[in-house]
Amino acid sequence: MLLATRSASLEPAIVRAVGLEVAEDLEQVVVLVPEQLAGETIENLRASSRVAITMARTYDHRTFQLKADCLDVSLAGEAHRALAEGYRSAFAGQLEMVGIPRRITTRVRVWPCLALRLRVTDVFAQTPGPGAGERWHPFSDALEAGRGTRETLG
Amino acid sequence: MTLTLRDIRRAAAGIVPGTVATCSADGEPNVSYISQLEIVDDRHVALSRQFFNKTSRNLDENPLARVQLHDPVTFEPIQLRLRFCRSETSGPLFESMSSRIDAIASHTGMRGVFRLVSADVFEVLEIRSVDGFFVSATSRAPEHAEPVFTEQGALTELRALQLVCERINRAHCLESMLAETLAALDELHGFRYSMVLVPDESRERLVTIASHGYGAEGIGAEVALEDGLIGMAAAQRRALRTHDLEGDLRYGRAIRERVFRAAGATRARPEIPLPGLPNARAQIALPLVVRDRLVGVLAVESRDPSTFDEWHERYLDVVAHQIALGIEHHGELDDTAEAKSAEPERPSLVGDPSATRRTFVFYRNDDCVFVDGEYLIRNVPGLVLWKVLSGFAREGRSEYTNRELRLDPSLKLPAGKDNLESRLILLRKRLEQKCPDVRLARLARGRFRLELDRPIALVERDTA
Repeated sequence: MLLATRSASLEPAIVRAVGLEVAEDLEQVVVLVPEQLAGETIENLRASSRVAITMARTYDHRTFQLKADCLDVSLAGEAHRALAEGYRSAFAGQLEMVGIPRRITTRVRVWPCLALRLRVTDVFAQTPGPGAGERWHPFSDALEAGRGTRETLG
Repeated sequence: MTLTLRDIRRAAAGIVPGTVATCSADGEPNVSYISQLEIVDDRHVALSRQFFNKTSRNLDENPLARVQLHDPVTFEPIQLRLRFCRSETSGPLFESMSSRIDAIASHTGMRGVFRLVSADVFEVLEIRSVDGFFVSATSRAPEHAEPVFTEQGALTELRALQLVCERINRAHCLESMLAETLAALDELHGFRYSMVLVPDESRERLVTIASHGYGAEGIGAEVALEDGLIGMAAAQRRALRTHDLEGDLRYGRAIRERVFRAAGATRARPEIPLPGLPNARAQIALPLVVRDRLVGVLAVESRDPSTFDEWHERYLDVVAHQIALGIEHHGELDDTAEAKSAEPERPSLVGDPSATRRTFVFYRNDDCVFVDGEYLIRNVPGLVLWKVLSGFAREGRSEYTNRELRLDPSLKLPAGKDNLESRLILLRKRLEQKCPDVRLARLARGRFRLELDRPIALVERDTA
């Protein structure tokens, strides 16, 4: 799961996110970004609150992109730690399929994290092929499509 | 840490899919997975464009982009700050990137459905590693700067190449040349799985006449021109390499799934089974060309996606030239060295005359031969076998020369370079696999003899 922001001079930046939690209202999400990697992202969020997040499932390339406004950033609490560690575990499983052993992927830093609270404005299909780039309405459709597999989207 | 493009060749191979972020003129970021990244020169890279239209629109408005890649061995992330230069829709770079995508498309039955729209070229402003990605520090594993030799001692690349060429030149016939070369590639370089395919008489299919590492079953495996990496390398006379065959196929299947859904029908061709390892990850296919004429394809495979890099492709390209010349050389020698043996013809049936008969059936409609109810061979090798078996059944004849086969119009050999020796190799190998008690033994260059360990019965039918 990769999160993109942009600077005041419109230069894009990428950071790997390590967890996504959907709020009850299905309009907001919390995305976790390792604090140590988040410097450029935070600086960019001062210039613009707009973010893009892409997430894909390795074995069938099923891919979505969210567009959102960042509402606020805080230090993630312990309640989110299991989410980040669960992501790392699922991510390691996906990467094992392309030959990267768990002894490497389990060393990926996922904590401490910043929690970015986002209001999702759009969801786009990004699975390669016809329909890539189509807008999904509403957000809950995308969640329904990804239900049960959401936690394994890399 | 600042890196150069030379440092990130392994990450650029795309075994772990990379991502590209762009931004529109009004400040909207976009992020998308990359299908293919190619290093163009020391300061430029190209991204393949098939579907990511928002990325393209953003680049037209704002040329700045960021790419994140991962080293497939260490998983270390690498970021490239880029500035978009131009989109290429023809020329060597486009053709090279397009070939690989066409190969994936053809394998998944999607030829013409997905294709390269453009090769988007970027200037590289900066390459850097991402500090703090791992919980403890790692040191960068070296890239494949030096080839790994499996033989003991101070072998250099040149020495290894010399040894391979020596074996090619020493070989007394095409069959031993191919077997020796593929064995040498394994012994000296660890290319454990390799094969040579040659065009059949229709020149629309390639058939495997030599293989190493696959066991006997590899011989005779076919692939149509333009199908998969091997078929595409032959059709386009271009060396093709993939590091992640499985990933490529997953990508192709994802598109295929979307096409099916969009069309609401089963329009696409079925996925094509190709020769080789069922779980191969890396593959290189090199055309064997002599004076613009395709004489075959050399293909190597590995289960390790990091096995092959540009060095291997370049090295095998040199070997492929030698093999191509060897195929040509042995074909020409057959034309000139076919003096009749001084030995008298010996009886062909050397085994037990009372043993159970082998029954061969020839189907006239497709020149196909079955043995004891099982498919054996077809086309020119099938016609040659039938001529030889019929000659023995009618008049007890057992010895033949390549020259007289070439003069027989019923064998339907193409005019000019006919690859007869390649077809005889295939026929011998198929006989070894399916009925080892019927053999075509080489007597001398361009001459062979039928040997039987048991009696045969021949049946001709119009159709199956």
